Amino acid sequence: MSTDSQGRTRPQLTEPGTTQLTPGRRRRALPVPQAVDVVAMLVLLATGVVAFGPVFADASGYAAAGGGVLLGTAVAAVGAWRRWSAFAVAAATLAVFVAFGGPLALPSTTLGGVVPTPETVNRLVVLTWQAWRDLLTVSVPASSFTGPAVVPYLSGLVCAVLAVGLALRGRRHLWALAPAATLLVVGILWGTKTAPSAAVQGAVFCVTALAWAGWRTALQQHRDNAHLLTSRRTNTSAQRQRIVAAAVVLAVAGGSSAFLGSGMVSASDRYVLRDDVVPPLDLRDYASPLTRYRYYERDQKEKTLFTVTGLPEGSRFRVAAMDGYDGHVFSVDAASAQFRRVGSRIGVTTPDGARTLDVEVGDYEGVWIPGGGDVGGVSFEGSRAESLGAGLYYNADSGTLLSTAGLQGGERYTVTVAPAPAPTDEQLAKDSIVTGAGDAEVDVPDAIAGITSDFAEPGESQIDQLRKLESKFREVGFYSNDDTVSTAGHFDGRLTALFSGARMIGDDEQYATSMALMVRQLGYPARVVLGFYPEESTPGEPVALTGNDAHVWVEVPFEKAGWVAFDPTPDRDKTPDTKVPKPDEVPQPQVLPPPVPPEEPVDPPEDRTDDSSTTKRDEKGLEVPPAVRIAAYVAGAGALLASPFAAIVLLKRRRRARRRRDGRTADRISGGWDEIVDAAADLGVRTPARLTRQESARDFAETFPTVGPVAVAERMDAHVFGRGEPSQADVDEMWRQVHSLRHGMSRSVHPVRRLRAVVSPRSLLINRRPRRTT
Amino acid sequence: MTITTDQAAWFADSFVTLTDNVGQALLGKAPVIRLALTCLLAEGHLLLEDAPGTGKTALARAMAATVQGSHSRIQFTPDLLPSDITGTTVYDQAQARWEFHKGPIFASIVLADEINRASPKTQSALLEVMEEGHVTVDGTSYDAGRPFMVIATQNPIEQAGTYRLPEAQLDRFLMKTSVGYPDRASAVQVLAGSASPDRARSLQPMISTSAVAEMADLVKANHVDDAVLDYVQRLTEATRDDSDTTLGVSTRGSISMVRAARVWAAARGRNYVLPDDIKELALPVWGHRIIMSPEAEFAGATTAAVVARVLDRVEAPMLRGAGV
Repeated sequence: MSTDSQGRTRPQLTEPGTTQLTPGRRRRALPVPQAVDVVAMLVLLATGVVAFGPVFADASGYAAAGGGVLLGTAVAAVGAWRRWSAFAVAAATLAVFVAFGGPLALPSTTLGGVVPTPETVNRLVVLTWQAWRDLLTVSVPASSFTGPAVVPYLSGLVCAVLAVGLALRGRRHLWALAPAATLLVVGILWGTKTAPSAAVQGAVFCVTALAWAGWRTALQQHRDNAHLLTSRRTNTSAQRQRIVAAAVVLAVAGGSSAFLGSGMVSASDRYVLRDDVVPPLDLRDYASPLTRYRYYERDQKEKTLFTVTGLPEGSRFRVAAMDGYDGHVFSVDAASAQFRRVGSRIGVTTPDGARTLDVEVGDYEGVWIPGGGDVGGVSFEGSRAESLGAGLYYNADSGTLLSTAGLQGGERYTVTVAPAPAPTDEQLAKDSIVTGAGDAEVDVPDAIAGITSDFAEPGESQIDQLRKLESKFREVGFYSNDDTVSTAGHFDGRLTALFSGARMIGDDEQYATSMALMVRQLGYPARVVLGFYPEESTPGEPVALTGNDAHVWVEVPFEKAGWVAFDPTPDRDKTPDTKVPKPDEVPQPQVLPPPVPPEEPVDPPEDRTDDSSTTKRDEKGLEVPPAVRIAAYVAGAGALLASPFAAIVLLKRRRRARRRRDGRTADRISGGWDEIVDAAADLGVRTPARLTRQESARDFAETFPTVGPVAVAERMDAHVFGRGEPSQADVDEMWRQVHSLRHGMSRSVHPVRRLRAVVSPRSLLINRRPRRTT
Repeated sequence: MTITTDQAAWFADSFVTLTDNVGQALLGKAPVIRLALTCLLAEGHLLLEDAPGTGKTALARAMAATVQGSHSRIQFTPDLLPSDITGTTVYDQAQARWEFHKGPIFASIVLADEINRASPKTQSALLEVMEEGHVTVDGTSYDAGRPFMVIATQNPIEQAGTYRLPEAQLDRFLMKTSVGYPDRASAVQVLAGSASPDRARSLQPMISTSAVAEMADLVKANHVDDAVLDYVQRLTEATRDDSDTTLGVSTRGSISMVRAARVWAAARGRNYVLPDDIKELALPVWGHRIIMSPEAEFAGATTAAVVARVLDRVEAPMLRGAGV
């Protein structure tokens, strides 16, 4: 008994001066195996952390997943050290999750990026399950959203706690690989198709997992057998063999994965959940809104398509901006890459001076949501609000909104949109057109390209030149939506006809697209916008927009003013007098006849389609069918993977031939026994060198009950140790027995074990010196 | 000179016959009997160390009864004199000459009971006759005859009133083994027949002394491959190199091993010796020849452990020897 400072006595468990082996003392030193476990788990988990990188595009994914892994490792390590119960570890994990969730996963909700606020905790709880969906459904750089980072953070934390915990404390350590692999799988499934370092990640994971598992198993076996091992020497030689075998396997695995990684892994083959959950927006599914123009303008002329409240006077109600022309149609295709999936709020801040437009849909139907521009937010009402909101996309460049669910009559929604600026021409004269912002590849029909230089007059400034071009169209052209004189459409043949006819006759569709193409021919970007605006409106009152209010105009981007609208369409009452026949057509002094147009069918669209289809065919012709390619890959990969096994089989065959051929006849008979010993080794039965032939034969007889190895061993002994050299006939007879014995041994085991024995390198790795005397 | 497979088979048959015959007197002890017969045919001597009452004497008597020859028994006591073993020369007054009266050692099979109770002087009297097969008394040499086999028994050396056999004398025994208690079935059988305590008396002699000598001569020619000889030598060296021993197996020890192994192999019907024979005989032939270091002995190590370790470390040969 001893007394402490308060004079109380306390029991002393050990004699003073003796070594105290209390659990606490022993726990303090971190043994090497456990340090290796932790490091191996960290490497394995790091591959999962890296998998989360591309989907966030910046460091936030790494920070969330990596932070989670480090925290989880710390929790598991401390739990193992202090011997916490599973419940305590779970509680600590939860506490850590809440405490560090703010800075690592939801920094925008914290104070100064560190201190969690009630909102942080609130959102963490909700996002614990919602984030999984969110990460899959938001547009790809997920870092621009608040919330999805909870997925890498949570999975990193939980997987690390489980992996490190199992590695350090589990009864079956190898189960630790499951959570480590889970993190990688989650990272892949919730990631993107493009994964720059996928091959490296896979290789690192596999090699580390194999190496660690091998080491762990060996360590366990060593511990299990510690009491059986008589000397360290046998143990180390076995270990050395094992290390060599492991190195060979790892080299093969690493080599083949590196080789195959370059050839086989391509982005299109990668499966990610995103593919299933969110079908990628393919704008080719939706016809260009421009093709509906004449339908609105003529067929729905009197029908109220929308009733809009809050539309500022003079502002335009945009449906879609189209910037891609392929010779057939102007479409939003070129900008589709920028279509992002959005929620009800777009952008962090509402644009200055934004107005809220309340829209009630009349006879309009379609996926394009009118009301685009610099949109701050969209909210739908009614029964389909959810599906409309879920399918909502926004292209910030063109200010176009789209909902894959499609608007239907009678639905209501509100759009917060900033008014388009209306600069004066004086301001614009000092401004300059943005170059390089539009579609760089100008695909202008030859007819338009040929006459642009004549049609467009040079101006004092860029705006002046465009205004002149605009007024030229208004001046020269006539308006008609009558299919007999002015067919609908704006394919290049139609546009060529517009210029090559005696008079320019068309509607918004043709004039706007012609001007846009001419502007492009001049070297400026331009786009075509479909929208609605009333002739006149009273501010503050709802505006009923009819089909008659549909318009198409041209927009050209200026550096300061942004997109400036141009209306090249002649007034609608300036119709060609179709009733007056021929005489009118010939002399038209006020119309400046365009310079002799090139041959009529300049560039028939069929050609183009032909072209494109032939190139497609060519590509197809060059391309190997995918099935063949996959088969080739599989065959190549199979051959590569099988090559080590084939080498093993060949080496064994060579060894067998050598044993049967080389040396004295007695040695050839001994070689037959070596063959049996090696067959047994491949089947998992090791024969110590100290055993004589008959002793090992008795061992085999116990392991392989159906065969009679003892008799064979006795006969061999008679030949080897008996007097006189055996004859070649004896050798052949013994080898016949060796073969039947080998087959009997392999037949007596399970087919899987038999197959494994065929390709097992074990017998090749055994360091067997020839047991020869003198 | 060599022996044929037929001769080996005949040898094995005879050996089995002898084993069975002795086995009638000593139930359930075939391995010990085989070792004893191997000693007899290898012309060596056997030391049995065991607790009293395990059948040591019965074995010796049965052996003697099986061989058609003389046998004697010497009970060793502390006051036993060398001449009590070898015999004395007395003066025959009628003939007026010295006459040699042969001691009990002049027999085919001599049972030396409790050999370690006699004084070292008396023990050493056995030395000459065991090694050389003749006795010299008063300058005259008397041949002990063939076969000549000493079966000595000794009580475990820890017992009181014993003189430990010197190493030199131990080395002259070809084998040392113990009989041990019989298994239960045999023991019950022994008890059932306890009315006639000496079963050895009822045994019929199965083999003449000349036949024994013939067998012993034949087996000397049994083939031992160089690989096996090399194996014996490597094992011998390993006993000398072992850290627990001060003295390993002597050259006489390895010669004895080969001698015994030739018989052992022939007893199995083989006209060649296998490494397996060496392994089986290693403990009985070598166990008593290894001198443990005092530290190892203090730590409780035994010669049996040394032999087992050596057999474990030395690789058994698989290939035929290269030839000398």
